[in-house]
Amino acid sequence: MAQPVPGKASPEEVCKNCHADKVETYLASKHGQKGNVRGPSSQGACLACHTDAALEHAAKGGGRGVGGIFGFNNPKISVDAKTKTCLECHGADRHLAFWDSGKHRKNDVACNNCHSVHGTPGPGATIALNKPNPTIAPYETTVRQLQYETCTTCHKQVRSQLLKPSHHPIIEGRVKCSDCHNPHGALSHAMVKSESVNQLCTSCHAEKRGPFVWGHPPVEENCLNCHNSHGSNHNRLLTERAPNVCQDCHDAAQHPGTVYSAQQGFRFSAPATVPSTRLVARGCVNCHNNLHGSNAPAMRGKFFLR
Amino acid sequence: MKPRLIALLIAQLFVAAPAAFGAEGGVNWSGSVGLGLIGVNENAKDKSKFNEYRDLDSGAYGVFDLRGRSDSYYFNGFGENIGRDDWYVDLWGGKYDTFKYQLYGNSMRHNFGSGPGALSPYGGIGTPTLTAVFPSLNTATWNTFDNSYDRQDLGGMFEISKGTPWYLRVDGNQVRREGIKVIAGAQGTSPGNGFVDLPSPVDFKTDNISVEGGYQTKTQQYALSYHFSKFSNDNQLLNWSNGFFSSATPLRLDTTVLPADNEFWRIGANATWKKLPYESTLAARLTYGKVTSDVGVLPTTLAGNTAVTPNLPANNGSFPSTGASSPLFHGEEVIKTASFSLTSRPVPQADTRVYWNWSEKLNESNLVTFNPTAVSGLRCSGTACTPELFSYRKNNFGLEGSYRVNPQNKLTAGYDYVFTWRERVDFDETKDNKFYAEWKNSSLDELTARIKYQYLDRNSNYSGSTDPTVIDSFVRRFDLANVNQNLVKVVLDASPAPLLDLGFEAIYKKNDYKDTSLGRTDDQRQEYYVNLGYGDPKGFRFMIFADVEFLEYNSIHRVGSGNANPAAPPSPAPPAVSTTYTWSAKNKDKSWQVGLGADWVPAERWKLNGSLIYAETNGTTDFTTQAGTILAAPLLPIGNSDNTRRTALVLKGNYRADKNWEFTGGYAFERYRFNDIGYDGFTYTVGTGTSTSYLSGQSAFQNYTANIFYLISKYSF
Repeated sequence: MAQPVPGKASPEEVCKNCHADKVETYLASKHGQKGNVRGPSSQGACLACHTDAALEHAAKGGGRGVGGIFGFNNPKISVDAKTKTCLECHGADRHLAFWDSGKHRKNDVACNNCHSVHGTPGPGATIALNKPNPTIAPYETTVRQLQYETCTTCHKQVRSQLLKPSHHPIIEGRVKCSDCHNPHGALSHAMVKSESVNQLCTSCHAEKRGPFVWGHPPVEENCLNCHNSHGSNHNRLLTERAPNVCQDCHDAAQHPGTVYSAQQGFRFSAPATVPSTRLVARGCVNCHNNLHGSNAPAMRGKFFLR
Repeated sequence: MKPRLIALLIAQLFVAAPAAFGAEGGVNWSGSVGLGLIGVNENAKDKSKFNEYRDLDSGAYGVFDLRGRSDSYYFNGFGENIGRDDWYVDLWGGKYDTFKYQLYGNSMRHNFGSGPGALSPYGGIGTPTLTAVFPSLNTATWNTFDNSYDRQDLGGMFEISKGTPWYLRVDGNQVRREGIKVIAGAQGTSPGNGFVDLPSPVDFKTDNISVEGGYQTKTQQYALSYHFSKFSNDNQLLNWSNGFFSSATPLRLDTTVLPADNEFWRIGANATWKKLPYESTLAARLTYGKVTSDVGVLPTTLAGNTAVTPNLPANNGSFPSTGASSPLFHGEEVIKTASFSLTSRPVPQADTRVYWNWSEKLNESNLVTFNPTAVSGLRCSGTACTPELFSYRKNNFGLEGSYRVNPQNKLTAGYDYVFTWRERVDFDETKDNKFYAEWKNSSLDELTARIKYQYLDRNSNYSGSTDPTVIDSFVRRFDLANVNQNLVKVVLDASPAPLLDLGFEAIYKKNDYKDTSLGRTDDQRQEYYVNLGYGDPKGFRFMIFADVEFLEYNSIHRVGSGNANPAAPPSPAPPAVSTTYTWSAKNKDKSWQVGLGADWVPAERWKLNGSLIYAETNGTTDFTTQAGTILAAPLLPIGNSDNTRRTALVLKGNYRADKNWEFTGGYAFERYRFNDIGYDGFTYTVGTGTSTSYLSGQSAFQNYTANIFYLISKYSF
């Protein structure tokens, strides 16, 4: 790679004649810090990423793609080539150890799809993320750069779920996508940052970690059997409202198999004479409160009543 | 980590960071401090849904953002909502390529439905003993409490590499949750006598520490890590007056067992070898972990009176022995995992991946059995109670290949196999075979299209009851039942003109639980997402999106104590009203929302933003009964299962007066309406006599309309 020649203008000085804003943001970033000895500032500056073709680009007076300059927004340049450029320096980063195994690489996501190398990091951030769209969210009490706005550019289903009545506080800025997922690759399903969904969930909801005297096998195996972690129409991120979600598994001669129809709400009608306490409020959980597992004795524990 | 220690460290950072910068010279400091005012006018009986995760009380707050840069060092400090419940502070910095550190605090109040207006007949709220005299039907005499908790996460990190491939990192944090959360308990000894909402104290603390060291280069990376997490709860039991029992002295206090202390530790090893032949990368991760929890088992518990003093009325209560086989439960689970992945590029057009994931969770807890006397009312279906300790082992193997036919067309196909062994009464083995194929096309410069089809066939070995007189013989629980799944996904992204982006995504997924007689028989979902964006972020841009979702869950059930076979005719024979019959439910969720957002820079010093969302969710349940069923009245369908309407408008303007001063002001409007069969016509008490249920109002009054005004002045330097 060409290095700045003593006595001649540095790449930054040449490039800023046309790309002053880009050079300015570069110099303000970690990439532009002189003391960052492994950074571009010590590796040829602009040429470190845009290749030596930038010299010819400049010599020919510039212009989109002129001189074969390596442009990250150029759709003709392959995703692999763009990623490879970043990995020239970041390839040793352990956070990218599983990049090759991850879904993003497989789905042709390049680093610059998420990272805005020439962007200005938002408040509370060191790294600028792309935010290609205006914020569409209820009033937020945070001014921070929120990851979800970058991730949901592609993950539209998740965008929709985050705005559901029941959701984790992601749009509120209290949980971020990378708290649970590793966007840079993982060996786990959905690139979650734990060995299993349950280990991930109980890293915050530690009170549900157990082990319990009385376990509830579908709970112990996968929280997602009953919950949708990104958001749901139903309270507590449930995939269905109780008692429906419970009745999908539990049927018995006693109440699990009973029909709970509109006749049994608070506005009950005949033949009901009172609201059913198995339908109103939290349904089954009104009594089976410890359904994630119970340490209560005998039948109180077995049926998660105490 | 103690808050005091953190405060000390923060103070040292502020002192040490400038000193380090100063020693080097050439430091460049920049940042801002700001003061904000927020005024909120809300119309809500219960505003907890409005501020579920947000502190939206009128008042003032502070914000700061500090950045220091020198050739070698960097420092960042950011804080917002200072002085409020949802404050956030993050301080981080380091020396390039040498070390880095972080200290942070993240606070949030989680307001559960009912918030500060929750009601309870109990005294002692906030303590582990709740007492009341029942019946207590006059809510004017009840106590109010705040159904919420504060969650504070304080932590830090230090990592050192000193410019070498070796690194060591230590992370630690403490999460505290303090407040009250409503749980519930069945009145009497089991469902059938109503229930009571219980304001349970939350004094949870989770301490986490992780240490990781490793070696990282472009061709190989190794890491060893240790993680330890300890959860502790100041309250192990909640004692409460059970309204089913007589209030005669001595008080008959029931007991709910609260989350027990537990510990989790895990050691892990990662290794990655890159740039192998055929551009291969081999990655592996091994972990070994253990979760433990020691709990004292209750030797006695509240039950009907017949066990001890049969001469007194049953609802006087008694405390018979639980017949526990051990006074202590030692919970212990060992979790082992191994993952391997080999990615290759055998030819330039092809990518392959082969992977194997193995995991095992063995429950090695001591089995505590309970053999209470027959008259205690504590037995399980008339016999001793024996827990089932759940364990599983999973073997997941898969391979995947992508072939780039040309730069515009890429084909991907894959196969994923999971074999699971479980120690579970109904299904002991499961085999999942998943096949998928995907075509990605970008022949048109302006359009990228992706279509994916996936088929899953799951076969489980049913090992449960086959006795046709037992209803469980017909139940297949959907999480493990045999299923055929079909999934189609279409994604289109287009840029037909400069500055114009269009996106479309459609998902269809159907699960057919083909061998299920009772339980969920099938479910399907259709989802459509559309967005259109136009404009230049330096001038004006907008985006509009529309989402539509249709979800449907169908299930079949059998009620009654007659013939358990769902195909058997209803009983008793007509014209008597059926007490045993088969019925089915069709649960539907329909949701849609539209959103519009815009950014506008009308002049150099001005920035304007706006956002508008309207969203609806509608849930319904329709019932049908088996032919020949005679009911006292036809079943009424449910038309309001978590029906919601939400409008959220945000308008914001930003004016930069000069290089130092900046003002941001805005207005937001929110309107939320909630209608659900479980809360429509809500009353705090249900039923009569000793079987009365007592509710706290949780989630019952979610409706709110709110206007929010805010202004922030910021001084930058």
